[in-house]
Amino acid sequence: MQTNTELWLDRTLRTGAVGTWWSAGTPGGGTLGMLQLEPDLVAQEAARQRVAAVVAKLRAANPPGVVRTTELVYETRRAWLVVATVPKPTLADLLAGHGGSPLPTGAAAGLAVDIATALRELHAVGLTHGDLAADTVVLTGAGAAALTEVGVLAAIQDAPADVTRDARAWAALARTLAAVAGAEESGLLVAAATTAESGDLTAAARRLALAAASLPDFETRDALAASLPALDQAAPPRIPAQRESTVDRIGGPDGTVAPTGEAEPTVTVRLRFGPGVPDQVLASTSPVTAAKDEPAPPRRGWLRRLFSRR
Amino acid sequence: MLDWTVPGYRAVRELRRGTSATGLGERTVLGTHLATGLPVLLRHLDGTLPEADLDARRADARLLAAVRDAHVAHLYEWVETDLGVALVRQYVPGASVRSVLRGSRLAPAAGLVTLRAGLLGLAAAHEQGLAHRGYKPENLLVDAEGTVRLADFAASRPPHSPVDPSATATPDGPAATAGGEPAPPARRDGFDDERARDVRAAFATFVAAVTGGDNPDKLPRKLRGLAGAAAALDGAALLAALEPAARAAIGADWHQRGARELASLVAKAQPTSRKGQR
Repeated sequence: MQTNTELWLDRTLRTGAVGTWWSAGTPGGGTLGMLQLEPDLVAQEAARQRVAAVVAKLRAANPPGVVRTTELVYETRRAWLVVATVPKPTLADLLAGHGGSPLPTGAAAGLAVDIATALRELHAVGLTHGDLAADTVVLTGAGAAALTEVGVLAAIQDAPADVTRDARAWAALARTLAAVAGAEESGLLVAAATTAESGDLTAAARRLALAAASLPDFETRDALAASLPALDQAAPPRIPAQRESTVDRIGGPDGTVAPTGEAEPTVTVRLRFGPGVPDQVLASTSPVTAAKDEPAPPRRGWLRRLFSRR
Repeated sequence: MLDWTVPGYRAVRELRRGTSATGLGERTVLGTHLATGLPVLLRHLDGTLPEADLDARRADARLLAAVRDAHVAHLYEWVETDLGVALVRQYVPGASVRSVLRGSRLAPAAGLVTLRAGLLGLAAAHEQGLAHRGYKPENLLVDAEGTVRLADFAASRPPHSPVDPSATATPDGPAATAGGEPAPPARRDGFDDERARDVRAAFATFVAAVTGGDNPDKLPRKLRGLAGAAAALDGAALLAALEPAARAAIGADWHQRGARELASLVAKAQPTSRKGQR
């Protein structure tokens, strides 16, 4: 069935590994999120079909802890992923926006448990995230964490489902959270990260949940939830400054985000040794100049839905 | 000058700001690698470095990147921009030995764990032809499990600058000359001297952490023999002497005990430790 409902693009939220997120308005006055997939990444029909297959699987399973994907929309050469809620703020916003003030006690461990639980739900239905990072985790209004961009990058790259990659990415996130958490919570997160790095995400999450349950406010997300509106105000849309190919991205950084109020440097020499692959030297000795192939933002306007909601 | 950060990373929190020995602005920032979420430490040198200094530092970065050792904080990237230079390295959640000391002393077992890790880290770097040139408690990072890593290689002074010969002299002289053998020819760039200075600094740091001063005679009796091994300024010899001395002084489980003590100190120091990590 085809619905032909129209959506209004509102503003860009951020640019990530696979494209640019927008908030969008619906005719009924509601809002939702739209991810414009980078045209080059889905230029091949095969890549589009793989993304469509992942989206179909996600819609069918609708696993808890994942921002619900409602449809995949094609508009001439562009492809858009539509999700049910505006996916902001992200965990990356939280980490950046908190500055010197600590997270509420229990919040970091609580978020890590949320993410691990969502990953396990995904794995249980045969899906993997494949690109778990601070900017693909969204904070809900209730102060919980939910996943976005599930399986999209892996589908584009035709990468096999890799549960241990998710576990390692979770461990990295847990270590990031440990860096901003209080002392006791930090120790729990580091221990859980070490367990997850060995590939056992389930054991890591279970132990963390049990240990963290004794922390004050672990189960109540009120303090974190209350801080989110201010955080959202403090996280203006960010402008993509430099994009690199997804092949480069596997070992090194992806598209670049300039924190607000900071100058954007012109890179003349960049020697990479990780951290995506800590045991492999990815150094390029030739100078690299910042790319200027910033994708043109999509025209502000109406979109036509070609696929209906289930 | 506006602050800047390395493309591909997000600055989370500034840990330290100051002026480097060469007069450039220096900022240390906790950040995250956007693609993986990994926490990293970004060291920015703001401004323009002299070309020779830049070449030497770049060469050191390549050497450091080749050091893959559990006792060394790994270097992830070296980035040159129009606004300055940045090094991106592994972030070690925890605290520096300087932070956990807070003016007090380490128990001998904990001190020995830091010395062993420091010597192993130095050995891995020396193997690649890289000297630390700034070994001190601030650069020994301890994580929540009591594991120690050596960080910030070659950051303390311009690389390969002339070494003051008097700085490496000891009452006993270097081991190579003690037995009447001719000393091996020093490398033109002073690497052998720098390597010896690293070992001496490692032992001095250990003595200071355990005794609060610089007199090895104030170490526990069974550890005083280490001073003899340290005087040879040979890291391998000192490491070889360390294990039996530690077992004799503390027991077979000296390492576990030391790591536990360090972990407990880190847990106490954590609220302020992030300022301690450079």
